[in-house]
This record gives sequence, C-alpha cells and structure tokens, in this order.
Amino acid sequence: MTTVAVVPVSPRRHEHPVPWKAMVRVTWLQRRSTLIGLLLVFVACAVAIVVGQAGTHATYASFVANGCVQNRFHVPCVTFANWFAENTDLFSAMVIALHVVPVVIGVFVGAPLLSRELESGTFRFTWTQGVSRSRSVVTTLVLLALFVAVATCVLGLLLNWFAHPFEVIGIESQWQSGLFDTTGPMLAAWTLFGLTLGTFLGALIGRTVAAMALTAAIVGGLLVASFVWLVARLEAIGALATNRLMPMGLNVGQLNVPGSQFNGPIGSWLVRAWFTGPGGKRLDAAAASNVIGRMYGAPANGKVGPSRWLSVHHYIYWVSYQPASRFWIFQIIAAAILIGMAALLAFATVRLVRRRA
Amino acid sequence: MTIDKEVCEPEAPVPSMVFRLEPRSGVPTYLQLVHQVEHALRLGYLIHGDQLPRVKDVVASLSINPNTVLKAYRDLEQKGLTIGRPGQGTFIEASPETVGLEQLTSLRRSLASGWLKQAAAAGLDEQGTIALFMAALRDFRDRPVESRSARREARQRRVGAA
Amino acid sequence: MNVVETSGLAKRYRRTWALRDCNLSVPAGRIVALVGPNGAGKTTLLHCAVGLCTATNGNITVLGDLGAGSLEALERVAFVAQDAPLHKYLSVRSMVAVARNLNPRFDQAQAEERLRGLEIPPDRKVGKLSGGQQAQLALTLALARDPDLLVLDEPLARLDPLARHDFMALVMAGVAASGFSVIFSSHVVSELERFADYLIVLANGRVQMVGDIDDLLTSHAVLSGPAEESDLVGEQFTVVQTRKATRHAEILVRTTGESRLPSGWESDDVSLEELVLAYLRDPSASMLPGPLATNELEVNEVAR
Repeated sequence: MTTVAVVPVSPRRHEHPVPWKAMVRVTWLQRRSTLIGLLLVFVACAVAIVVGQAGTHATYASFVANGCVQNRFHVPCVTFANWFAENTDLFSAMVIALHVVPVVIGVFVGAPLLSRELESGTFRFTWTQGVSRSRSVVTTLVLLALFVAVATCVLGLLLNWFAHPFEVIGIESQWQSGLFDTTGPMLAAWTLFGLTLGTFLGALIGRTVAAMALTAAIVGGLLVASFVWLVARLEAIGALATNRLMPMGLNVGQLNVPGSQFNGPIGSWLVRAWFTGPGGKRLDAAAASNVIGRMYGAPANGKVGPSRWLSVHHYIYWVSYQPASRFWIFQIIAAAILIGMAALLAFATVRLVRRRA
Repeated sequence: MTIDKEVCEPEAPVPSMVFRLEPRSGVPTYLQLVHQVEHALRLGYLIHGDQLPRVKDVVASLSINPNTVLKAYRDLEQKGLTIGRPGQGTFIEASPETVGLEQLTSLRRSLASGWLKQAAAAGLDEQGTIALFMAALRDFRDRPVESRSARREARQRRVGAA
Repeated sequence: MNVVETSGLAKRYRRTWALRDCNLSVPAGRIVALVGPNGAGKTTLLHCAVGLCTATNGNITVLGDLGAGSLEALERVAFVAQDAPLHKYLSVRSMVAVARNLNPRFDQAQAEERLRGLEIPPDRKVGKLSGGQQAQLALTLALARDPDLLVLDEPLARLDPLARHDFMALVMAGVAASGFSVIFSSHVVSELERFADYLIVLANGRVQMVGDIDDLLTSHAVLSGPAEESDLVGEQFTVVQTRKATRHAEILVRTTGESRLPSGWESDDVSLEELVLAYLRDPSASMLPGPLATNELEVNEVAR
C-alpha cells in the first residue's frame, strides 16, 4: 500500500541546544520547595549566630577597652575571661548545628535528586526530552552546589566572627576540630562532599530511603571521625619544635591545645610535648613523670624556678606546634581533599547516569 | 493560561455529514465512509455543492487514521461523486439523479418478482437466500485467490500512488 | 526515509534476552502498531528507539540515520512511557513550563489551547488529575514538541473507553495536522485497524510479522474445503494455521497470488485480529525469511 497522505518530513537540522537559563528554570521549578527549605535553614542558623554574638562581642569590647588583650591578669580581665568561660553554650550549640548541615544537605538534597526520578519512573520523561541526560544532571548539580557553597561560606564566616573573642581569650581555637571543620571554606567543602555523595548514592541505588540512610551514615561517620581524630592527625604533620615555652603546669604527650594556654603566641596550636635528658635522649612517659615529680618537689627559693631546675639538671622541655600563620594552609589542604572527592563523585554520578540503560 | 468556561465559544458550524463506523463488519473502514456518502447522496441528505467534513474533523470525531479518510475521499473523487478544491475542501459534485434512482427501483422490482420468488419456491429461507446471493456475488466479482493481487493492483491504480 | 531501522537488534537484561535479532525497516509517514503478548519485548524495543536503553547487539537508527538517543533524535522524537509518568507534585502549569524549557521546539500556545479544550485546570497538581487526564497531559506535552516521530508505550492500557477514544482522537488529529509518524504498542489487537496502517508483531523478543496492514491482509486468505484434501491443498501454499472439522477444514495461508484455488475450495478474507492471533499461536510461523532454528523452537514450546 502506498500512503495517500502528504508527509511533510522536512530535513530539520537540530536547532541550538537548550540554553542554560532554561535549565536553571527547570531546576528551580522541580526543586522549589527543597531550595526554599534550605534557605530557611541557612537563614535560621545565620540569625542564631548574629543574635548570639551580640552579648559576646559586647563583653569583648569591654575586654579590649580595659587593655586585657595585653595583660590578662589584670583584675577586671579575669572577670571577663570567666564570663566567656561560662557563656559558651550557644557557641557550642552553633558548632554542633553547623556540623549537621552537610549531613542534612546530603540526605535531603543530594540523595533524592536522582533516586526520586528513578524510583517514580519520571526519568522516562526527563531523559527523553530535548536535552541530554548528562546536561540536565550537571546543570542541576552545579546550580545546587553554587547555592549551597555560597550559603555555607557565609555561615562559616559568621561562625569565625562569633568565635573570635573566644579565640583571643584562649578558650576556643580555630585549630580545634569542631571549629576547624565549620569555619572558613571547610563547611562549604564538607557540604559539597555531602551533596555529591548523596547524589551519587541516589543514582547508584535508585531507592530514596536507602540512599538517604547510607548518605547520613557515611557523611555523619566521617564528620565524627574528623572531629575525634582526623583533624588532629592532619595538624600534627610537619609541626615545629620549640624549647622556649614554659607553662605553669607541665604536660607531656598529646597536647592539642591553643598556644595561648601555654603563654605561647595567640593563634598557634600546640601538638605534643616531651622531655629530652642529658645527652639529648628523649624520655619515655615514666621517666618524664619522674622528672616532673622531682622538679615540683624541689624547693623554689627565690631565683630557682622550674626552668632553672631543668637546665641545671640538663633536661629540656620540648613542645611541637603549628604557628598561626600556617592555619590557612591546613584549611586549604583539607578543603581541597573534600572538594576533590566531591568532584570525583559528581563525575562518577554523571557517568552512572549516562550508562544507565 | 485561563479557562473560559463562562464565555461562549462560537457555535461550531453544523457538518454536512456524520459518519459512523462498524469496526467488526469486515468492511474496510474507508469503504464504509464511501458507502455512507453514496447512501446519503441517494437519500438526498447530501446535495450538489455540499462540502464534506474536513479530514481532521472526521479524524477527531471518529478517532481513525487520517490516511483512511483521505483514501475514502480520493475514492469518491475517482468515482466522480466529489471534487477536491485545493485550499478549500472536498465538495459534492454529483446530484442524486446521476446515481440512478429510477434504475434502482426497477432493479429492485425485478429482483423481487424474479429470482427471489424462485429461491423461495426452492425452499430457501432468509439466511440461505443471503448466503447463496453472497456466493454468487463473489463469483460474479471473480474471487479466485490469484486475482486478489490483481484486484489490489487495480485498486492501487485507482487510488493513485504517492 | 525509514523512521525506525534496526539490524540484528538484541537486548539482554542480566540473563534474559528481551529482544533477539530484530530487523525492521519502518517507512516514515505511517501509524505503526507494535503488538504482542505481555513480555514480548515491546517496551524494550520502544525504549531502545528513544534512547532509554542501549542495545546489547546490533543497532538501531531513527528518522533516517540518527542514532537512537542521540541529541538530535531526542529533539525530534517525543515519547510517552507506560503510565504516562510526570512530576506528580508540580502543577499542570509548572509541568508545561518544565517541558517548554527542556525542548528547543515547543508550541506553548498549542499546548495551552489543547489543555483548555480538554478542560484540564492549569493550577491543579498533576498527581490530582485522573489517569485519563494525566495521559492527555503527557500526550499534549509530547505533541507540543512538534516531533517527527511520536512513540507511545501502551497508551491505552489504563484508560476507560471514553478516555481511550479521546486520547487516540488527539493523536490522529495531530497526525492529520502535522503528518508525523507514530509508533504505539498494544497488547490488544482488536480495533487496531482503525488507527494503524503498519503492523509489527513481536513475540518472545522476535519479530513475527511486519508490514503494511493492507499488504498483510491482501496477502493472506482463509481457504475452506473438504477435510481430506486439506493436506494436499496446504502444500501449494505457505500455511499459517490449519483447523480441521469432521468433513471440512479451514487453512489460513499466505499467498503470492500465483497459485490457483483448487475446485471445491472457497477463499475468504482474513481479519487482522484473526491473522495476528494465528501468527502468535504458532511461533514457527514468521513473516521474515528463514525459519527459527530447531532448538529455539523447543525453547518457545517450553516457554508456552
């Protein structure tokens, strides 16, 4: 049979590919409620910090006005210092809250991104429209990543600002794992990692609930590991050694304290401390305790203090530390690792999507 | 994007012809359409100058393949019953008389008084009469297997190759 | 131009072959019905055509020489999957906006006009529409893309009779207006003739029958005659199916038009449904050159 109808099969070459702005609009239409929810969460955190810092910065202003930065053993300065020591609750709460942000984003933004389409079957609609699969996934990821990165950078900077007085006084330190992971670029880096891990697992597993659970477990687990051990381990690398610090109470072994606690430079981070004996040999823990015991047992008549006693007996007290100027290097390294992993995960996600047949 | 339910749509013009289909009758769809037009002409429901419904309207109301409608309209044109005016539509060309109403009446009378009377006398009932008539009609139309493709070719020539 | 062309197309999922050695050359400008029992591989074939899955063996091109799933094919082929999946939580208006933004060619005015005609409210959530309305919406979005090929996977399966009529009327009206090709799959054979003019019958992943419906009908006939002569007569033709009674037999044959009908035998037209069912009942009957290999015949017998 020959067809009777006139078939206008025109040789239409394909028009220009769908412009980026259109893709952005699609992402907005499809993720509207998620993006608005995120925005509310970010705003809530920001507001909490801004409100919380008011009292802290007010007290800090007085602290500075009274010249306490240079001489903290002035009487009013001690009162101020105590105030800070007693008012860390909101601050600690914010540090914990910000730790939760990468998990929340990974679980509620990343994991459902692709798994929902796969589970509900709407990928059979989305992937047969006039735009390639990779293009639609990449655009959505980039848009969400930008949004999330900007918001978390702002939060990280806000937390930096909130933390500053505590750091000056020596109660908190930017080197501490809690603050390390949530200030500067680190919060953004963790969040991007969480987002891309969630998206990857969603695409891999294709089931939203399972992907959410696995993302929470992995991101949460890594954050906990970082808090407890990873950050400290990183910061121990390449530490400098000094024998010029003589704090009131001597400790050996892992210190992980801000330098100001040992009368060291503000902003530095003390890693370990040990003794060396006559001949320069390092003392083990038992021998070190012995030395400390004898040192404090010695009568301190006038000029002979602990440091004099040590040098007379040819003991040297060493401390390894990171100077304040190095802090940003560590943040960059840690952020680079996380962002590198995020990039790999994003790449793997796109590849997964392309090959899914 | 609004729905104008309250605002009255202008009344759609009344079509000159309504078609219906019997999907299981065994008669090809396009032929059913052709027969319905011929029947309407015979009964005077369609007269010279009437415009047949547009292809897309027939398609939308009956939900059938557009090619079928086009085939039916071409068939009618080949038979000289209609004429297609490009850009305007398909119009009835023949008038009822040309289909031969007088001939039909005389054929009907001769059938009733001749052959049907003989068949009844032979003892055939209605179903038997119909079956015999259909067989004879098939024979008359020359229905052996090998001429089917010849019939198809003839039909193709009539309909016109694309 | 062939709107779909496959050569040796095969697709395996884990250990099952969903499609085997399919060779098709579907001409453009047709309305194609893809028919077969459940599990025959219809959805797999359609998914390969629209780029949702990639072939294990062989290849498939659409609209001439475009690779299935390539960007140009994506832009010119519109697909409505089974159950017409759409984002249920979006409003109809947002869904249209998504479709508009995802396609270089999209006739927003046409889509809106059709939805008005279908009385689908633009502010209702897609998930709150009836099944028929969701199917209509999916079809409207597909048609607004001005495709050269429209692919529908079992579009009528979950629709009531009125919704079915309206859905196909919309498709047919679209073809009448724009002249694109259509491929739709169905596991119901009756009523195909009113829509389709080209047929592909798929069973067990293989193509059993393919061709213009008019050609298929004119090239087959049912011969009826005395039962004792049926085997002899059958040898002169390609027999698809034989049915015997005490004194008479009916043979469904494929003819080339060159054999004479023996005396005492009558020949009758075959309906499309009868023809398709006869082919489906006999897996060894195939409209393609070359019989099935014996071991595969056994597999099919076991599978039945």
